[in-house]
Amino acid sequence: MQKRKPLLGSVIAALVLSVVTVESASPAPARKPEGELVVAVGSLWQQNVDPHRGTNASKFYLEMQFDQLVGINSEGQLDPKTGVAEKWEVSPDSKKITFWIRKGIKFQNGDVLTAEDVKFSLERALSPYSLDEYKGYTSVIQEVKLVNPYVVELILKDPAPRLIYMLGSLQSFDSGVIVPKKYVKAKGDEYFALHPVGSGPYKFHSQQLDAYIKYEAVSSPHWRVGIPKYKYITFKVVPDVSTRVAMLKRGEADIAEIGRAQIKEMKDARLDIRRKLSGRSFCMQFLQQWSEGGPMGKVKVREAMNLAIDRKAILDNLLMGAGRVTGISPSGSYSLFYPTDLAPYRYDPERAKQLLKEAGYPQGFKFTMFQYEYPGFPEGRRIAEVLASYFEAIGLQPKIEPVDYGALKERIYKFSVPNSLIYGAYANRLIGEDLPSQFYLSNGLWQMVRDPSMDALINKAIKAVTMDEYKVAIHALFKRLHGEYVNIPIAELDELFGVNPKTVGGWDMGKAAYGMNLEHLFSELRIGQKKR
Amino acid sequence: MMGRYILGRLFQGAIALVVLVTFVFVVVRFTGDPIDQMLGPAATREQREGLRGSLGLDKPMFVQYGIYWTNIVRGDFGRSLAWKRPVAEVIAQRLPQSAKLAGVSMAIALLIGMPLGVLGALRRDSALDVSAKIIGLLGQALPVFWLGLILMEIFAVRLEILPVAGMGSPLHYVLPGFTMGWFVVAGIMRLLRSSLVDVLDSEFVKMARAKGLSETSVIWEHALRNALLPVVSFAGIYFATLITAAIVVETVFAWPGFGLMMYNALKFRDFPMIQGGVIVTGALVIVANLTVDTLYAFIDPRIRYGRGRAK
Repeated sequence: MQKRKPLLGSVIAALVLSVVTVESASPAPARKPEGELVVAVGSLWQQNVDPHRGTNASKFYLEMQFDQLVGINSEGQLDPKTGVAEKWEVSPDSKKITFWIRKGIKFQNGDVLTAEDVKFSLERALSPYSLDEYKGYTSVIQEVKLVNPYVVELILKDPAPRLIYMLGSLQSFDSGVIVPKKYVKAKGDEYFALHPVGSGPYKFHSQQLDAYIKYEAVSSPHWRVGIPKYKYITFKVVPDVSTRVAMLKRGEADIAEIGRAQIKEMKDARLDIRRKLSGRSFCMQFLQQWSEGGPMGKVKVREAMNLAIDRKAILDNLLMGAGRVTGISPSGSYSLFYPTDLAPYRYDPERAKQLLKEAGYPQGFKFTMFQYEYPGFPEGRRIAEVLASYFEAIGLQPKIEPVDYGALKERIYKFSVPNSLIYGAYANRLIGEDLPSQFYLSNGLWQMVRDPSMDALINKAIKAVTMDEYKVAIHALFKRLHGEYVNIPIAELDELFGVNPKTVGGWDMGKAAYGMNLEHLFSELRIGQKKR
Repeated sequence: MMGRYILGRLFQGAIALVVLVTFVFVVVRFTGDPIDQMLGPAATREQREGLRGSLGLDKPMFVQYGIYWTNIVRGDFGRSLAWKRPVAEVIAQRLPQSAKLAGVSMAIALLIGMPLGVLGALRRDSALDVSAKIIGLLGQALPVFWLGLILMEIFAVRLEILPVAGMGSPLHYVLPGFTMGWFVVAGIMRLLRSSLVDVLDSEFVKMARAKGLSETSVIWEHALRNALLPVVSFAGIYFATLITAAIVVETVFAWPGFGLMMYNALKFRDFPMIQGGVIVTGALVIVANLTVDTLYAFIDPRIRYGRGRAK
């Protein structure tokens, strides 16, 4: 009997030990996404969830669900670690780009992403169905060739060294976004527009028009993100900014778009503000500078009007210091090869008056300043009034005309508004000649300038065949815009977001035009992201 | 007789609707270009003209008008330029949301306005009457926008007993419903008060008192029923307005209703959406008016509709 007890004890000990060992050897259960990140925004624009049917302004929510062919990082650089293409090669003549597609990427419906999907997506972006506003750049693609299931070649009509930038989300979104070929062809475009499928870390969950779009984390780890932090990300439409702030205070939202007028309220409520530095470039524009006999066609007049303004005072007092004065607009500091030697104009009202005399306007002149609600820039109306007072101080006679911006654009496109000023706060973007080509080309939509030499400068940048050539061309363009006072640059503005500091930590919003880089908040692997 | 009257009114309403839609069809096309909103600013002229052509917006206005009515007759209100869905589908989603909110607002307005109106009539010029008038006046004088934000700050943010904004639970109806409803209280209260004062002075009420009926019975069973007629009229017509024009409250409380839909359609120059919305708004007002007039005849047997006028 006594001999059995030690044996029994050993058996029990061995059993216990084996259980403990097995338990230790088992991997810890994988972390699961949990909770919901609620982002309150003023508008979801057209609320398109088909990435080829929206404007660039839809990017901030579409980037939850879709990946781009060319990856970028939060510094605003191309990054092969973050895109569908793990490698690319541009031919010496810049007329062919070869992409090697990353293996192992799956769409949210389980389809494997291959070069066929890339070809299909690029062709869809170029088709009449797509509303991609940058087709002017991407239409240089003559053919998309499949080399093998994971290699695709773009054959170009002309050299286009910057095309690679258009196929990531720094500038555009539609051009380089990847959608599943089999699914779209099987279900059709209309079905896809309501039930989109992408390869991003979040899949489409549900939406209600003008109310919200909700995304849900994919069930398996994403190749770039890993396991996303949040189970759901919901973008809620809350048109009124006071309501958005109330939601932050109450905890019904984690992030909310705010304006400069809410800065103090946020501080009083012990909520934090995060900034997308220099997200927008604010300037005034001279319309129809070519109008016969129009004073704004004269460089000295434009110089005078620039020197009449105290930009620092406007930035500090009306824009609450949320930005920095600038000497170049409408292109901004996100532009490739942005020059740092073109300083903001000084404030010199006396010199301004002198210049007006030299230009033949000692008594000043009358002109119109349009005043309207500019999307995403509620301060515009008030600043227009302040600027009018600066112009009055140097002897000019501005007349402020309140208008609806949409109706005003009709008049502008018909060139029926000579001798007038408008303002805009344009999203800072990568391609420096993008906005000048819209505004200052003599065959463009706005035609603020009609000057063959200006056309030549802009077209030289657009058609540059190498990056070196582009650098020289864009510098020449910026120098011309600055040197001839083609517009009135005021400041680069920070885009402001109120956050609940208990639920949102450090957040780098990146440098993609219209993007929010929420991935910085939810990415586990943090590829292409700054440290929190 | 009543049937002919109703048919006649419906026919008149249809004519009014056609005139209204025609007016809006023309005017809205002078306010701006929807292509601007659909394509980003970098789009080329060719892209813009291509899209304009694909949407039929390059055709002469009278051709677009003819196509529009041809489709309407077939029940096709067109596709929203912004949301790229059938207009009918979008309206069918948004209208019930506004109707529910309008219903709650009207119920709140009646629950507050009617007792105040009755009390005001019974206790004329008393402190109660004056207080009731002040309550009603405040409802009309306070800007709806401001009132909504103040109530939000107190009840949602500070006291945390109601949600801030959006739709969801029954509690979501309280703040926007009260904000909209208070505005209507004054109208209901004053109409009922003056109507009841008139009725209380009438011969049949004196007769009822002379017969020995209790004051409660005189007021609640006899006088009030007659005094309600103008209130019914007002509430019915105003209900249609609450559904279609609650843009301010819908904006403050992020309520995805019909008013906000129309505002966004106007901002976007979404012609099919604007036209469809106008048809629905016009139809609602016409039906509301007709319903109220018909109800009148049932409530007051003395009212009969003959050739174009109430008898």
